[in-house]
Amino acid sequence: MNLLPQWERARYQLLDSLAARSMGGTNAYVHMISRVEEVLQRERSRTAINRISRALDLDPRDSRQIYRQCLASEAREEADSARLLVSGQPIAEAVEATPPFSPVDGPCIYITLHWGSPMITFLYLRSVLGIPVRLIGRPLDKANPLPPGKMRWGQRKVEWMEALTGETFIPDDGAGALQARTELLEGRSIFASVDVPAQPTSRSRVIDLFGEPIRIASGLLRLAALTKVPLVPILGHSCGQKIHVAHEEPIPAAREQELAESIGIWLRKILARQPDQWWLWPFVHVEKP
Amino acid sequence: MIDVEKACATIAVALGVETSCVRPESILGDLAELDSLSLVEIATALDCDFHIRLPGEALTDTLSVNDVVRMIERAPRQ
Repeated sequence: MNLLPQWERARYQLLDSLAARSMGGTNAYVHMISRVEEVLQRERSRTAINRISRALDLDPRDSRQIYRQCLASEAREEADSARLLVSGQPIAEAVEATPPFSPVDGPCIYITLHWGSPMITFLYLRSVLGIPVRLIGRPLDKANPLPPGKMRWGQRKVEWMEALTGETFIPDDGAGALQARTELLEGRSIFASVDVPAQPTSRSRVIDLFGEPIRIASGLLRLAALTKVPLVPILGHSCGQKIHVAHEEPIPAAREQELAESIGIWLRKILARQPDQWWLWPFVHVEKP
Repeated sequence: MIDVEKACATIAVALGVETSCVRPESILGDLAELDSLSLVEIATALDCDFHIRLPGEALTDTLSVNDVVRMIERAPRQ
């Protein structure tokens, strides 16, 4: 019997009834979601655990532990968002940057990963630090294949984020690319995930993931090359009571391939240090030889 | 007056098609398979060749080269 549809519905109901109520509820939600997802999505879990083992040269037991933490990381982003949304707690109280954040002089593309708490990191930049930055995201429209429960939660979250920042998302389509270009040329910045697996119709570049060639969508890299703005890697993740945000030195504008290589170096550095926050272990597109 | 031939050549290079394929009446979306970045590439190339700042959002794949030339005429100079 396929329990996934029922589970998917229940999971997003639990965000309100459990995760949003308190930090204890958040922790309970995270623990439960990661365990159930691991079991229900058996094939996905196997793919991820094997990939982690190969990439980091770990035995399957350690890799499984890391994958559970990855599932917990994704659930925690949802749960933290739900709690902040319901409680109205200021983002400034929930997030800290150490060392203190030093904004880039001029426009840039803040690049993040499906790692830790990307959306709360964006909220920190925009609504706490007041940096003029807009987020590029996939529209939650009919073409988006998200299951209904996740779609409803996504729409609530987007409304909340847009209300907090006073800005709408930029869609990840042709019109959005032109909009993003205008933002950058007029001195504002862009925030987006750079580890998006490439779709067959989108442009992509191959990067090395610990010996395995993987394809990532390269639109952001092209945009940086065309507008000559730097990429600024930035990540946030939950450390107990607070979400910790840190950024790296800007990657200067360069040709697409050079930027892709820089992204590869950054991704490997992050995953060698903290592989247990990356949600995409099971989803990367491996380049066939 | 904007040099229409120069605009055709700029668009051809940005799309990676033969210059002879691009005529004033050509529709951008018919010239090549455009993806989400193609229009950004056209806008950037036109900005560079004509020393303008094209209002990018107005560019769509249903415009003709003549429409684009009119946009270039109205665009602020850099």
